[in-house]
Amino acid sequence: MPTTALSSSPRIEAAPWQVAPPRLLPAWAARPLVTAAEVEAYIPQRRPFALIDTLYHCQPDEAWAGLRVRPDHLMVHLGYLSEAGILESMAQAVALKAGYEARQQGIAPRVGFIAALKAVYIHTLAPVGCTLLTHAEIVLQAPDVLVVKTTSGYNATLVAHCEMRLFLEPEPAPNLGLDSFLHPSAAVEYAH
Amino acid sequence: MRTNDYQLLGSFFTLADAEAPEPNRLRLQVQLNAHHALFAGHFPGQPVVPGVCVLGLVKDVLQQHLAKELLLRTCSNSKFLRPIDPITMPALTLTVGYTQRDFLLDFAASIQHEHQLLCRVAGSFQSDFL
Repeated sequence: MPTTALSSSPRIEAAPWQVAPPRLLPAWAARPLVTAAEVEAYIPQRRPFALIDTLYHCQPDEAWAGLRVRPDHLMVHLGYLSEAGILESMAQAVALKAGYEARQQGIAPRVGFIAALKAVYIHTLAPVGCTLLTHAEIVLQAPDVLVVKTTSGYNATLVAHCEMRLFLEPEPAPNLGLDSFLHPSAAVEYAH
Repeated sequence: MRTNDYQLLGSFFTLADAEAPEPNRLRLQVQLNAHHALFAGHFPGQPVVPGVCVLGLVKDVLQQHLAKELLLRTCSNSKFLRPIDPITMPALTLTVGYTQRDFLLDFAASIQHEHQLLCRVAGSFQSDFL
């Protein structure tokens, strides 16, 4: 006897007072702009210390980026991404946004440093296995300085929010030309 | 507290000598490990101590000094004035002041290299847990 799932059975219709469950993530979450495989072309940070995976959404004044927290990461301590790792992930989300925009305009991404942190609030730590999402909102954009407000969380849990000031080095990162030289196949993959 | 409870102490940096000039105040000599794995990624060929690792360093120092578990809760007015290069400046002076306030531990710390101020951080750790 064939069995069908209750919700997909054509005979049972949703009652008029039942509304569709809210979508937890907007539609753009399904097709990221930058995936984990190609993220190294957009940020100057590299493997053991790269703390951002995916860019979901990028607008001139805001961006959404994500990190899948892996158990073997350097900043994971006793099963949780540490406070330093959470803050660094927020900073690298902004770096990824800047790198993506630079690449759209055909410029190499620049190395950036955290110049100041203010109003940092950490509510909880992110456990291994979750996808830590970061929303970055640009407050002020100057040639060498970025002031951003970032908020991070996973599922429906707020992890941290902060305001940070980033300093961008004037010249482009020197290692990026070498990187495409060492992995010529990678450059073709990023060419789109 | 066991050694493997520290994230950065022992691998990323070691403490050379510590003195407490006043109660609730510490002055330590910090020796950075320029061969730590994170410098391979931050940044390749140009090692710089990430600003957030300064917060982790202060946390580990206070955890060891107080023999308590700490969790960074807030951070305000932290300024990273110069990038810290672990090759040219491996020996740093760390000054930490702290006050216990209910279940929070307020701290203010600064890192100097030969009387040059590199960064200044302040905030509070949660020191008591349910």
